[in-house]
Amino acid sequence: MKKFEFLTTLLAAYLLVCLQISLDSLGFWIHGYIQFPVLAIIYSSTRKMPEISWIFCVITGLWIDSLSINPLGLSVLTLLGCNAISLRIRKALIGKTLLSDLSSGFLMGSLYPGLTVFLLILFGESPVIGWRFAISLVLSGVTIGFLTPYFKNLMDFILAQLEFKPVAGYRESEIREIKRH
Amino acid sequence: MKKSKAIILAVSTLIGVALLLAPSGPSLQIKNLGSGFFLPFFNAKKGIGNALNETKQRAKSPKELRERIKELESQLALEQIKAQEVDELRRSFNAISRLIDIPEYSQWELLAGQVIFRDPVNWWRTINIDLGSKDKIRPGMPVITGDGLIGKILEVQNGFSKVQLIGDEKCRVGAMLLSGDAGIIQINDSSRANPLIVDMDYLPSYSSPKQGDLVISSGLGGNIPKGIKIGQIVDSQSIGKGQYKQAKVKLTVQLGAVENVWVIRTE
Repeated sequence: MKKFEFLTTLLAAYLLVCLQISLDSLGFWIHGYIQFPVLAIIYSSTRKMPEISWIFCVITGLWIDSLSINPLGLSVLTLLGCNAISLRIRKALIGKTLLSDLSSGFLMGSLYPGLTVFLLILFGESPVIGWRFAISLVLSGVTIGFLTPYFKNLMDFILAQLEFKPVAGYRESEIREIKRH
Repeated sequence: MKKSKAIILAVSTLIGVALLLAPSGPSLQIKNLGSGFFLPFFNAKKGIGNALNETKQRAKSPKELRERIKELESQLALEQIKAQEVDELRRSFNAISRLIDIPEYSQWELLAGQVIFRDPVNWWRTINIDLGSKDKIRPGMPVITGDGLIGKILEVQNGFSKVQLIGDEKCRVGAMLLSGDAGIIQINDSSRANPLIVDMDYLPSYSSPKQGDLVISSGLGGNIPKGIKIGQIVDSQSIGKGQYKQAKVKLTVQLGAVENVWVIRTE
């Protein structure tokens, strides 16, 4: 992996965590944060950059856990889990239709908090979850679903400006698959 | 999957598991290190907020400002009168306490702080304030606002501290009614949905909490001094076969809107 890719990953992780903690008041009242790091995971799996996405998961997870009272390492595992799932459903993610973006965003957006809370309970912690948590899962899923296509376009634009071409990693058969969709 | 990719995945997973199983000491140090990256961001955010406030103040008309000054001056005069009254009460209390040999009233040592961000995940009720280890604060110290108690210090890091809010699973506070009946403020399943409602458990079975009754800290079992406002009774019921009473308490502080806080430095 190039140094440039590593630095871009670091910067993206930092900015997404900053964005998430900047919307803190909103999160308190609607009892649901928008899980911005999930957007980057979806994006990286569509661009076939598994090494980058795994490193992104470790760094982002570490930062999120440092800023919260989560046990350290919990978000790392959850994000890695989400990343593994998003790599599995990669073909659906690169469908490039609005529906595929919405559905994959919804799935990943609600999977991340759900998986974290499941792990917390598994490790004997007692997170404050009530019926609002179910709403927050749906809310997070819907928001991530709607943001996914915009985030993809934004990242494509930024990477094109920086002359960073991850798309070159596609095989011929995959490009044909995308065109067929 | 290529070999190098498999190695990166295995190493990432191992890092996650190792961190999760790490003892609390090293874990806190790594947290300190990780959160340190965000101090420039918090400072920049605070600076921008202050600059915006100043601009807003400057945009106000001189007439508006004069009226505000007048209003604040009369408020200050009232507070000074109240402070004299409190001083007199404190002197009398200390004189009586010397006579009957009970500890004298000691004044709270308050440290002002500002909320810099809330927990980036929504299953904990915590906020982070801009007072850290350099301000000599320690876990367990109570955190208040002008409206009452909001929680206690959980973790102290380099540039900020985590405050566990009332209503979090692990934040239990000794509380009492003005009648003297004591209980514990905690959260039960029925109150998890509303962040402004908590439960007051283990009230004596003979107590009769009524709607609107004030709940204050009892000073029992912790660093929180007696007499800090917590909330008002909304509802109450008997638990078990009348073993104890449980009451729902509406917090006096709007936890979602807290910006300025004070930490009480206790021993």
